[in-house]
Amino acid sequence: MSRYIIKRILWMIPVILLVAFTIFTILYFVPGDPTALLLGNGATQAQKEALREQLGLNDSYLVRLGRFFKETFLEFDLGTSYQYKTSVSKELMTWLSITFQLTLLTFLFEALIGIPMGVTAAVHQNTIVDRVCTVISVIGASLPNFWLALMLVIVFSVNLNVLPSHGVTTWTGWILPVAAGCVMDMGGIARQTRSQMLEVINSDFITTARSKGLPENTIRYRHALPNAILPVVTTLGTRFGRALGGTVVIETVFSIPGVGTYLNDAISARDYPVICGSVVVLSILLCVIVLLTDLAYALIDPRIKAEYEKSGKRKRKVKEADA
Amino acid sequence: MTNLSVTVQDMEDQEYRRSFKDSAGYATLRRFCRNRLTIFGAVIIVILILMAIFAPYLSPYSYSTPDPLNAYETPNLTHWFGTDKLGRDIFTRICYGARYSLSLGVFAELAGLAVGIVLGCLAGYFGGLVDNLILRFCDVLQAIPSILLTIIIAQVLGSGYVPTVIALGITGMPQVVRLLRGQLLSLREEEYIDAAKMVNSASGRIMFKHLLPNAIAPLIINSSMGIGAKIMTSASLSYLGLGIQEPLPEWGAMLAAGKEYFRYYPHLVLIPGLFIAITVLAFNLVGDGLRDALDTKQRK
Amino acid sequence: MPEQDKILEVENLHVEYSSGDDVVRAVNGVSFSLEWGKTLGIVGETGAGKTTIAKAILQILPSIQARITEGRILFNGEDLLKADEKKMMSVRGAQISMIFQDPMTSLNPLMRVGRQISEGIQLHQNVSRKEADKRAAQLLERVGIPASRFREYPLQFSGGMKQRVVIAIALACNPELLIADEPTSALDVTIQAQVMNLIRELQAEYQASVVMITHDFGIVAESCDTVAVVYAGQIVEYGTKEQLFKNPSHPYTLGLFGALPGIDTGRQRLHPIKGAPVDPTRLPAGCPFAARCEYASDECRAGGITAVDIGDGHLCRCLYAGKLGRKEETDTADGKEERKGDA
Repeated sequence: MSRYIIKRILWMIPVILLVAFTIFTILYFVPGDPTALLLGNGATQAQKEALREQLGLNDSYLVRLGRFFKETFLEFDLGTSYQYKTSVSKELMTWLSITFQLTLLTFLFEALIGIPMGVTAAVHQNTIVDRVCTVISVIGASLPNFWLALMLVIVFSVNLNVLPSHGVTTWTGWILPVAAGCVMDMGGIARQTRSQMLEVINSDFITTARSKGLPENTIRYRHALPNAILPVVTTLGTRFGRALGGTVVIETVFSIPGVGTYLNDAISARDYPVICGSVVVLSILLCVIVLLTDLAYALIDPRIKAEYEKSGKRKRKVKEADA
Repeated sequence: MTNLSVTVQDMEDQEYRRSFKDSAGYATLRRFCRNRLTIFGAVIIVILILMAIFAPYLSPYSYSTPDPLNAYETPNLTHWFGTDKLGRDIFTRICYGARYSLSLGVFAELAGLAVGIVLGCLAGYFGGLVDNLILRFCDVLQAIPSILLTIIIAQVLGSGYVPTVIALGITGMPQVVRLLRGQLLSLREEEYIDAAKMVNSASGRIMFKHLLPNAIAPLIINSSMGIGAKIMTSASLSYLGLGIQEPLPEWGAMLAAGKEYFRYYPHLVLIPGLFIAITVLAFNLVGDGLRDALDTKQRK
Repeated sequence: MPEQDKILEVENLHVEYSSGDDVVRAVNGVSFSLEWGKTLGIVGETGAGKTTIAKAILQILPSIQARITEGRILFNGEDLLKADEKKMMSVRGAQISMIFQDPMTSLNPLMRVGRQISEGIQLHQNVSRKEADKRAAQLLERVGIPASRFREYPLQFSGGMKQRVVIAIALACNPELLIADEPTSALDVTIQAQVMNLIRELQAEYQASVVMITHDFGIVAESCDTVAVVYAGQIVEYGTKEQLFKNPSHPYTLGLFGALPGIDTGRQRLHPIKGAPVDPTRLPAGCPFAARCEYASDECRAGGITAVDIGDGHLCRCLYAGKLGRKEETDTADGKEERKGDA
């Protein structure tokens, strides 16, 4: 098992390096001059040129790439923001912590509502309960989150005036962003849970459980649910990683100072250190979360664990196959 | 004589009818049609397509000429969905917008599909080094949160229709590759592929005659859902000020243009968003129906 | 009531599956009975409705698609079809239990095998978890698996071992009736004999009555007392093992024997039954086997065929019951002419 983990971590290194390389290269070709945006319209050509020289933008592609890799991966320094003149790593931590809280809350609600909804629908297959759950989740999965956010603002902030429409300085501020953010994926989770549950309920080992005379609830929750939930857990993990960078839209609607807003502003301003630094950090986070999810999966499912162990030590494959 | 020929004709008809009824295609079609929600979704898509095609005939107003005297009208009998800040009729713009939003979704999906199928086939069929390289490439693309990747690519390519299609296509591609590769890998183990190899089918032939048709059902399902998702993402891009922009009547762009005034004129945001939601819903419903109809595993 | 000597009596059982517009009539008027401590073999092709009969007895058919439309299932004289779910739960696993066909899929992959055995014991025998685990470990030893593997997961077991676990689950609460649904057909030939021996040993030890579902006449010959041959959800021939082997009377049974390679008879060529099993969504009005039967006449296709007693309770559902015999010598192409003479 530990071999497998080490192998996976080692695999992350080239992926991260490639991500850094890709993002750097894309940005190199992005049209637009950061100095023009930084100095404003009144700046002379000479001023711009001086700033370019100062920021090292006049160096060749390879020199800049080398410097970026050296600073990021050897000195662990993400550089200084062009716009704010502050350390990117420090800034990133503040912005990221807000995004992390938002994502975590959103995911808790998605899972806590989506999974039971899917189970309920599956258990009452083809009844009115199932149809209602299905319709709610399919509609939920189709609502654009930014639109839903605006609609919620109209109802709860503008008309009822009970919840703030922007900022997360008070706890009430979290309600609308979390609500708007969780609806879309909640529908997806409910649907996945339902179909997994139905597939498991029709499998042979459930018939075995039934033939033992177990009560229906024991069969559902002790035998079927753990089997049905596993793929959902994987999806949740991957989505969590993605959502860390993907809350940009919700953050924009509610003016939440999260990493999405930070990055989106940086992209418009061609603030290269911020873009590169954030993307690299976010990809590392995503890889780590995916790895943690896979490991969690292996902890619950002995089959996956065996598979990992097998891939960790090819030489003893024969023995494994024998067992 | 005539009598006889009629009987033979009847018999042939009957024979034909039975063989069609027994065919797998008919069974799939019947399963597809059985679900009323799926039919509902398909009908909505057809209506939206008709709206896009006949947009010029559906309303007397222009989608682009400003009419400042009638700006910010709420929905009424003359302007069914009201007018925007320049007084343009929103219903007209929605109809024209269907052209952009639908075609964007479809083309972006096709772009991702085309590249994805090629890479997925290569990876799934040859395995080994090719497989590893392609997978790592997908790893890199997927290691960047997809909306961010789309934003960055959209920035590189600039705003507009084609850049948006490319940006959405690139981010959607890895999923197609992984799906197809997984399917091919599991199909490769199936016995009929061994049988094809045994009679010396060329590798290209095996891929296109045997592997691809069998891997295609999950792709169709994935694509139907994918079109909806692409429409949604392109709207998000427009909302963030990337992708397609005003004055083009794309739904996301209309929504973005209305967001400054949405506190006072909610219909500016409500209506385009509603259409995005309905479209995505329709594609999701059809995708669900296709899954039920095509997925032999679930049918038992 | 004379039921005392019969542990199980099934009367006129009908089961339907519906999927959308199609109705599959899987079991159509099946009746049989089983005496205490005896073994009944149910023989037939795949899709003949054997497993459905077994699941109907335990009432573990998929509730959404399947429906028992008619019939009685008397277990110790009590009609299980009239029993409520609570009663059925106390019967399942405790008094009637089942061994399933495919050991690969019939165990919960996420649950330790020991727990899968002890679960039922804890439920039915009302003992503590610890005591149930102890008994389960003993059972594991009894079916030939070291108790040290109690805490392992199904994936660590081979197919034969898994089937032993399934048998242990079935026997966990000392059931009176054991239904074995093709217990060996998914196993390697070398393992099959071991598993069959184990089942026979345990049957004797626990004094259980057994319904043995199989398509293997070898298993029938070894372990059954009475045999029911099933085709398209009907019992086409029913009798003691001796009656059926000495005097197979239904064309289908004859066909099954013809499809068996016989070492002793020295026949050179096998006679497969022509055609494929009848489509259960389109059962014909007459004899369902008529389309594949070399003796079929228009009367057969017209219908109204009932089971005929051709001596000592040997039942045969055929118009020509008792008139057809095993035709060892006619294995030439001119059997077609002879057939008309036979009829």
